[in-house]
Amino acid sequence: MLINQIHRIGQAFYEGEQPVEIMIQMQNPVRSEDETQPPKIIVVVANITNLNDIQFKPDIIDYNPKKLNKYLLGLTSGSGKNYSLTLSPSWNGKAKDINFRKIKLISKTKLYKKTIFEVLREDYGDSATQLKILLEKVKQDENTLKKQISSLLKSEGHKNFNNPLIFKIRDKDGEKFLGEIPMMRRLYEYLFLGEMDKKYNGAKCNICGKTKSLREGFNLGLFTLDQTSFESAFFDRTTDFSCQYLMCTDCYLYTLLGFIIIKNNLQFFAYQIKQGQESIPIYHYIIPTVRDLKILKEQVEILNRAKKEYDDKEKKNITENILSLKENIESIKTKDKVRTPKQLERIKQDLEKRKKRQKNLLASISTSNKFNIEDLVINLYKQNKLIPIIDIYFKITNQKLNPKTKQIVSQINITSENIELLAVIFKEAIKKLEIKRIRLSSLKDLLPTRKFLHYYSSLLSLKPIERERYQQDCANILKSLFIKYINAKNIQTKKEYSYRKSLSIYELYNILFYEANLWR
Amino acid sequence: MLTDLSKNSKIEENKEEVENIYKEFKNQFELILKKFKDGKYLQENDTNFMFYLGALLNDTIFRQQKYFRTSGLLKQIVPFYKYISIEKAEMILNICLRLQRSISRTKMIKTSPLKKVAETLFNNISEKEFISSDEDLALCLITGYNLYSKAIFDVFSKEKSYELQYIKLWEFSNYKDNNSFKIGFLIAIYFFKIEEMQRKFLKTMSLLKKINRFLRKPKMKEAKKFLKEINSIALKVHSTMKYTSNKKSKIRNYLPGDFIQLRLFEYLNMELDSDINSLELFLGFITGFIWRYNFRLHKIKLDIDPIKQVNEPERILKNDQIVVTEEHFIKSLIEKNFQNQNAETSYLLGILFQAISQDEEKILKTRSLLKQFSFLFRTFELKNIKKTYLEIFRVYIKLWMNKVKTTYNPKEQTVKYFRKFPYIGAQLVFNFGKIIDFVNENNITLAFIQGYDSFRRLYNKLNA
Repeated sequence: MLINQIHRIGQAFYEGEQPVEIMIQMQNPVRSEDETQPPKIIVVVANITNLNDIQFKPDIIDYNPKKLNKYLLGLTSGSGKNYSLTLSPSWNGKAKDINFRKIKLISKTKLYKKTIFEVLREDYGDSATQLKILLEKVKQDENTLKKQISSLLKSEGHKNFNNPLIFKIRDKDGEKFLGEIPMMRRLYEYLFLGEMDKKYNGAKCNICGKTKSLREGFNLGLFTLDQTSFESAFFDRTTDFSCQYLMCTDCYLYTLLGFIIIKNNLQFFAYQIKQGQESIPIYHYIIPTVRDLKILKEQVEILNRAKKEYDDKEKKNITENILSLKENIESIKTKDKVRTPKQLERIKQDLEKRKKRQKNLLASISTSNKFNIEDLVINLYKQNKLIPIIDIYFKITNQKLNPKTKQIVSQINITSENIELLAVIFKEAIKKLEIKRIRLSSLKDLLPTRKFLHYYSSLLSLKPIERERYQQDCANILKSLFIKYINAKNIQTKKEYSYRKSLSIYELYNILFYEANLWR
Repeated sequence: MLTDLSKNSKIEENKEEVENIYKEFKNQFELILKKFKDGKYLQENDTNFMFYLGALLNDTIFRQQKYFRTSGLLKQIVPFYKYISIEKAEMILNICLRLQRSISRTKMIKTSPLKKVAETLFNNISEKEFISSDEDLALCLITGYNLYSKAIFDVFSKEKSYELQYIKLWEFSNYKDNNSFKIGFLIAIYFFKIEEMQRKFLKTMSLLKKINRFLRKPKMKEAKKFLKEINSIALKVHSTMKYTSNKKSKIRNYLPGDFIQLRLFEYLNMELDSDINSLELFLGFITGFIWRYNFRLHKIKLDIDPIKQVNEPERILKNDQIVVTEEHFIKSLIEKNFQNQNAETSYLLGILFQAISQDEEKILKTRSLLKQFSFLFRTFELKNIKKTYLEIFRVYIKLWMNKVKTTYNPKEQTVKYFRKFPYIGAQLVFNFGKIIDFVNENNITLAFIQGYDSFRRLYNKLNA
């Protein structure tokens, strides 16, 4: 599921950040129409040294992306009530076009059945009342402010203006952007996260399944049917998906972070579509599907590094794009593989330690009867007994492995000695049973996958196993199969419920563990 | 029991001596009866009377055969035996007394000393005192009869003693103190002996039908009804001419299987009906069945497990394919090397289950065993394992009956018996006695499934 993976990426990159800092990264960067000049934004400086006489002074400055922390531009995609602290004046030469409605709405919002100023006053004291007075002043002087701004824009020579409008406050200490005031950051958080403890009857978090501190989630255009409490409703007028993904606050922040990382680092250009005179770029995301968080982080970082060497505008075909990406990734990996001599020494020491341990283990199992493994395999193949050794061989070399089994196999250090000794054990086992053409992996039929992996890995690494527990795992499934088999009236239904294959696998494993002293 | 006329010829010479010997019979009978004094049957007046009535009946039959050389008395009495009440008991008493008197008149010998005792006992009982059930009264009558014939045996051959061989078996199979097991065991031996006799002398097979009801409900109530049927058949067999007049020189007043019946009464007398465990009763019944048809006691050693006495498997061909015999199965068990005895028993049970359920579907065309089994297998504990064993043998006995019925030839007096896996069946009873508790349930269920599957494997292995 996509949203789970996004959540996982966020979890991997989260390093104790505060929610505001995550949300600030979500802000849309401002772009200019002329690429040669930096983009511009309007700043209204409010002088509040004397609260009885507040004065506004509009100004136009260059947008600096490094100062994004201070601006508090507002989320582009957030919760449904997007009361931004900034205004986006879509100005076409008339003072009417500038709209202060968003700022007016802030004074009306309520949290925990209180007005927002009362909530802030508990932590920040008088500065909350200052804010209230300021907003009321903005309401009063709305028309004069609009005229001031439009006249300023005309004098600068603009015909259209679509970039945001920010406030700045002048105190006794000096001029400050809103992001520099801690109370404003808190207000920003409240505005976009809203009430934390909303209660939906019977609803659950889409990701972790919690029922506490739920909130309306994430406004991302994803459509699913397999999430809990997902409403597959289509809206007539809005494209708001926020009420469809219910999440708890933790999961919300993780997914937000994950989404930011995907948007900034894993977004790749695919091709362009021409629509009349304009050409619209179309992007694609590359999302790694690993579940382990450490490996996921590594892979995202590698992809990010590969992106830097990847030209967006040269290629126009997706397959070519991806091929070039793959080349980049491989070149990065080869660079990483070159290790420093210190690292090499460590690895060597680890290997020797492991070998010593395994030798001690194997010595306890059996010491005599050494022979060529190839002869054994050929012999058994002639007898038409395709034995589990080959199965193991395939398992190790086959590239179509599950990521999880691959993970396990990679952890185990299988040497040729190891397999030889295993072969001895297998041969004895086959003498005792008439087993033909059974693969070890068909133990999957007998056990659920997680348990199967446990036994399989323990067999390969010669770890001890509890005998009673193994029997317990096998018995219930065999029992139910056996009853079904016995009660079946036709031959066909009997074939369906045949317990024989799984029984013989059980016996094989039983003997393997028994002969190899694998029981604890 | 031998009471030859030639041996007893001295009796005719001196009449005083003869009467002394009859007194001795009576004294001996009462001596034996005293042994059962503590049990439940001698407490009531009505049952006490029935013992003496039985003894008197035996005495009159003895005299009739000895002096008149006829044996028509039992034939008169058999129809009364089936439902005994006050009136019928009185009728039996009157018949016996009439005969006693006629013998004493013609042969100038005093009537039996038992006659007075029986008469006085009967006169003292009022109608209200006949409380005991029909089955109990019948049982007491027969035991009285058999006790008297034992008294005669004891008088003539004081040194000899006769014991059942099967009793040895209980000591080794750990059922030494279990009376309900013993009762079941003896019922089985008694039943199968009488059943053979019936086929041989009466040429009928009515007793085989009677067993069905006991198989369905193996409880003490049914067992007593069943015993009554067996006893009535034993009386019938005795009353036929062929049985009594086989050799005319001998007096035969004893019933077939009387020693077994006496032994059975000993345990029935000791235990209350409510104390008897029906599960163990039936287990005993089945072991009796197995041992009677499959083993000669002098050939098999009881202190060693029956499985270990099996020989090496032989090669038997049928339709150009090797037949899987019991020896093969037992060999496979030894190769398996189970660490538990629990697993071993359930493995054996699996083998039995496979064979019998297959035969049931093939021959009887029913699936009763499978229906019961899936219910029992869900929680596979010691109790349920015993139950499955009993279910298996319930079907086994049905198969046995079916074979007897179909192969019976009345002209040549031959029958074929259904025999399968006697050693395994016997070994299982031995194991049940030893096992105390099952700890690991999974171990047992898996072993059972392995046992079930072992037939197919052996067949494939031998005919590869």
